[in-house]
Amino acid sequence: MKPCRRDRKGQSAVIDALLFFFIMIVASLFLNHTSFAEVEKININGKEIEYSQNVFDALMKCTVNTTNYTKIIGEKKVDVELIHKNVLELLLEDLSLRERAGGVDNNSLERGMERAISDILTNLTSYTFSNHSQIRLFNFYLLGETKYLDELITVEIGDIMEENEGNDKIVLPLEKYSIQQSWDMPDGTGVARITLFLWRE
Amino acid sequence: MSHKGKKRRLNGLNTNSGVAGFYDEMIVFFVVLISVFIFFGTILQTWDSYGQRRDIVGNYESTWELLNNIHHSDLLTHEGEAGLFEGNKIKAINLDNFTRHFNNSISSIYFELEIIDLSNSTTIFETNLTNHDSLGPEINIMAYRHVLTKPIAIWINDENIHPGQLRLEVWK
Repeated sequence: MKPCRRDRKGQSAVIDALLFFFIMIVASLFLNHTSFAEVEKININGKEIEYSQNVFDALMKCTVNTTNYTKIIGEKKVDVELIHKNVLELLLEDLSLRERAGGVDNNSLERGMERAISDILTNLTSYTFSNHSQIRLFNFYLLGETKYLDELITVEIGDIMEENEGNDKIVLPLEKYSIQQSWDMPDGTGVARITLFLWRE
Repeated sequence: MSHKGKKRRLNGLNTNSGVAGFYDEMIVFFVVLISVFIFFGTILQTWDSYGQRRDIVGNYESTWELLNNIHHSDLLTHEGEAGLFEGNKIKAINLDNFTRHFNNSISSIYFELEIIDLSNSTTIFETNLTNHDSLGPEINIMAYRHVLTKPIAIWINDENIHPGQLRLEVWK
């Protein structure tokens, strides 16, 4: 074995060896990268969709002890109290009240029923530690829709409204999970469709 | 039979030094040696990390499965409805019957389960690590640790159904 030859053949061998070295490095990097990519294929999306479905199911079953809204009868305002209603009942009631435009103070619906539903949803989409402090895991947007006399009636609960040129505009991120289910309206006016959108903060 | 072609090929290979002649240079020999070491080192390291990560993924899956089993379990749910836990059943449960019920899933792991009523922020069930003779997880000696949660509804009676959280911590 010679220490280092400087003739043409010697240089050619060094270049070949360096090329080999480079190929080995590239092959090593490729090997490392592909093996990690393979293992990282945990079905996170499947879990998050399942989680979203769990949130939706739990939400619809939860009850609100007391809540109220303001009914407008002529010039009189009457407070109507709702006791021990579950979230599904409240959402359907909210939609049917909005169908009868003018009979109800819409702000009272937002302050009463919708705030209560929003609080439950905030709890369900948060991670609660043993000491009961919480961090939000997901943002949410709950949309209730029904058609009444060809008019679309909606209930929106969530914190994603952005004001755009004087109008409130809904801005949903591209990457989100959605769960949708339909129910008959209690007053028989059609079908209500409720959709829950969840996305990571 | 003609040997012309064979002879020509041998001439092209620098028959004076043979294939080993390529490694005649010390620098070339070391570069090739280092390359081969790097490559095989990477293979070993990748294989090791791959195995570790596979374990972590597998354990994540089994933790998720255990959480799902609890979520659907007759032991805790109201009228067998998945995700609707019954307050009385939660109060009645203790570590013994819980461990007996989920014996297959939890025999080889350390776990801590909490059921939290989110309407009043109270923990209504907690396993207190008494199932194993351990003082609790020490991060540096754990093979893995997963904390997973699931939202649930807690049935007190038909008029009172509270939002809740199932929180499972598993480590090995």
